[in-house]
Amino acid sequence: MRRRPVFRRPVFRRPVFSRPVFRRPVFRRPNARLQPEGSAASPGRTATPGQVLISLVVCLAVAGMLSTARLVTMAERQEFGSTRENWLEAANTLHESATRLKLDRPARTIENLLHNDRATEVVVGELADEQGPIDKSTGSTLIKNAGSRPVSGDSVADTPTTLPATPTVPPTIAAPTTVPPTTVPPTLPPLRQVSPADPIRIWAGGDSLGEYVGSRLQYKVADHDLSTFTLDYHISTGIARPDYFDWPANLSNVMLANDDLSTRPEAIVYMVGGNDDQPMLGPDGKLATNSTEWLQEYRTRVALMMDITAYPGIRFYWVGLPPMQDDRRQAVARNVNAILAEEAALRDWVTFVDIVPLLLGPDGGYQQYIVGPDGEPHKAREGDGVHVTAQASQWISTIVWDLIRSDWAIAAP
Amino acid sequence: MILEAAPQEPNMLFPTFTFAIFFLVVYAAHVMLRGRGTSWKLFMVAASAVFYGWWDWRFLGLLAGSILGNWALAALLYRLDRQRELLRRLLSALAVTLNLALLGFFKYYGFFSLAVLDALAAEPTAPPLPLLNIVLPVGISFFTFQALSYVVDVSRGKLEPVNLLDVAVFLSFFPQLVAGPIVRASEFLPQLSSQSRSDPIMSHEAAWLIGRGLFKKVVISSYLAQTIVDPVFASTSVASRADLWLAMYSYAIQIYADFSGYTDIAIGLALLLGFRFPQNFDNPYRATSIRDFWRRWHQTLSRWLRDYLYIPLGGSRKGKILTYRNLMLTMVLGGLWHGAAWTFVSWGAIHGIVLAIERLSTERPRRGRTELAQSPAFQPLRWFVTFHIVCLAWIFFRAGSLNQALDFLTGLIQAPPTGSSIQPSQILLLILIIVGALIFQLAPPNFGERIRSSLSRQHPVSQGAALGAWFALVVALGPQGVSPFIYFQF
Repeated sequence: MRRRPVFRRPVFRRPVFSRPVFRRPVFRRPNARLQPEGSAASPGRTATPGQVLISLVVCLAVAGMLSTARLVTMAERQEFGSTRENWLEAANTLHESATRLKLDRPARTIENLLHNDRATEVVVGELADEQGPIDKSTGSTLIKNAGSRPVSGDSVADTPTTLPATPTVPPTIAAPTTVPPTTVPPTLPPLRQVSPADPIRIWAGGDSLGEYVGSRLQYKVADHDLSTFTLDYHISTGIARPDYFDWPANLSNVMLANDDLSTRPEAIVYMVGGNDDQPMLGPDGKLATNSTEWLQEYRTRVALMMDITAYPGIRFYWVGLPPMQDDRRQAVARNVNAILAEEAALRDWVTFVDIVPLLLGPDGGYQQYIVGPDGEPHKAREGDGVHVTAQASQWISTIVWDLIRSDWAIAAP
Repeated sequence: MILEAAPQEPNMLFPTFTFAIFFLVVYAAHVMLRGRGTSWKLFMVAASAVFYGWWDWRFLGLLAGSILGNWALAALLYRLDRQRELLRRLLSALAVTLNLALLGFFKYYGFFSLAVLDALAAEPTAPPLPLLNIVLPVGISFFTFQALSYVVDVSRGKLEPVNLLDVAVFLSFFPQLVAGPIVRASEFLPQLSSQSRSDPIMSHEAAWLIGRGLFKKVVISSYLAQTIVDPVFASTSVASRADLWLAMYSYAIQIYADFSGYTDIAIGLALLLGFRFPQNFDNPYRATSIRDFWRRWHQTLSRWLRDYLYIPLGGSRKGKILTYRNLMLTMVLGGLWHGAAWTFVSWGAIHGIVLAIERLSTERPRRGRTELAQSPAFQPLRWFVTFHIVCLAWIFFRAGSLNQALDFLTGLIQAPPTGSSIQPSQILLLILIIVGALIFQLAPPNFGERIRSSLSRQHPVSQGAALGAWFALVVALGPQGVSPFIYFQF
């Protein structure tokens, strides 16, 4: 019997190509996760630790010899004392050698191209003689008097002025001074009328504390159409170390940047001092922090800063230091605030803005959290025990703005 | 490396002369003690203590406490046998709680006590939690996360506990102590035990990393910060629209240059000391999605959050809703890790929301749309959108408050279009830096390989001389003084 053929469903088989399948070669880096960004495995030449040590010494020597000017600057900025002197001597010796060998040229060329430092000269204001004259033997380079200020085009560098002696203020400050913010006494002529067409020109400056307060103030004044604002802050600066940043020279530049008086700032808000708890270099050498001599020198510098702004139609608001967490800093801050209050009291155009009462805790000491004017507790101080938070800066800027508004009779928006 | 911090700044930053001298001395001792196990370790712990104590010696006790506590807990966890599982779990939970409590107290106590006060509407003069004066110890977020990885890995049986000295070296190792990368115990400890006198050192790679890192920090980051970012963020309300846009892009480049610069230097220094650290960045501004961004940005933190937070929370294994919850929680806590402020929480939340949207779009693919999204022609648009989301989120990261961030965002659209206070030449340079930095990110990954390979052919002493000349150039190009790295505050 013939069997019927069984139908088998044809099986579809995928055609087999004889051509080999191309596989992209995969490059695997050894332990790829441990390779730094953009780094491929390039074994290259390896070194022994001893060779690395020698190359580190060579590296620092080469870098040092090519950057001797910066080494000198660095040595100059050390805390005053014998260590600084030794460093300075070594750096100067190196710098002389590098200059002889012309090794300093590349760095000098680059620095000249990038950092054009302005000439530093200090000019005190016209009212300084009448209101707060002092002996200006500070660390600033050159001091002149704007009373004999030359007209545009003349050089101010050849008319140094010897100023009368310092006012009699006791150099040692015993107790904390809490002077409430005050408005300028009515001995000065009234200030001009401010309008949107002719807004008040506000300049705020200082160190990092000054930046905090200045930037908050900028917010405040932005709500009005009656002011222009310049914020000029320099982190880590103060008036103790003009070799690091020369505030008197900078403020003089601000005041005299343009002979056109219509561009000169009218309301000057200034806050420094947080970095000033360090020795200063006085006329007779190093002055120990917070010593009687140190306080006297500090007073001289404060007075100079105030006198630089002594022009008609100008008000200077110097914001004092907040309470400090560290006892050593607090001792300095207390004396600095007292100096500021006393020097401001001698000058009609200067107002000392005391922020200590605002930031004191219930026990009269440093406090990170403060119950603010809104009745709510806020973090008022940063963790470093020096800086104020954005919230506290807001409060301080409100005080300053209220003073400015009061002096220029600016109505609330 | 001949830069100086401002007067009265005691910090031992990498790009300072102080650190250069410190490292030279440490390295000389390292050469002598290398391969002598205990002596080398003791010396390294002492050197790290000097480095950390330079910031604030009071925090040395905290670091020592963390070392001692985590060593003891890990040893105890390991000794408990498997039959006492409940006790093991309890002890493990205690270890995690103690570490988080340490971090929480120093970093978040004030933030949460104010939040509790607000929530309870309590009398401000008598808050439910006392408001204390707390100083944030530098690097606490980094060493606490490293300590957690050690204890958790031991409790999971992934790692055997090591002796107290090894734990001390691991947690205090100065190249990564204050700002990472977050190196895990499983990555560090095997290298520590295999240290020998004869291990060759990839000095050219270290030189390349240190040189590159210094340039990023001292030249790029400092210039952007001083010229545009700091001034514009200090006066957001009055800045012009052009300045705000420029500041936004500049900050994106600044924070990358700052943090990756630090990481490069840290990895380079560790390499010289015989350790290879994990990478922390992989051209993050090359990302074409936020998910991709997080694979490239701060990778050691991303990995940590994934392995010790997202996955223990359930990851994506417990249903869709819980997956999204876990994602958001991880990103928000990741934001909070950076600092106790609503700005950081918002930054994390923005990334969490975008990640959730991206996940949603991949879970419900629509054929045409998915193909279009994956097509090469679409990639530039994906990159553009991702980069701008990242940049906009950075505004919250940088702003001092939520109000300032919102002002900044509003100003990007509503501020007066022009009126920049920055000189035209500076604007041109800023644009060049931003574009140049992006080109470097988008360039092939081995860009710069030629420099590195030519460096690798040089004798180590020649490498040192080349690096010295490079340092001098960096010093000349950089500003006077150097500010701390951004990530030190975290």
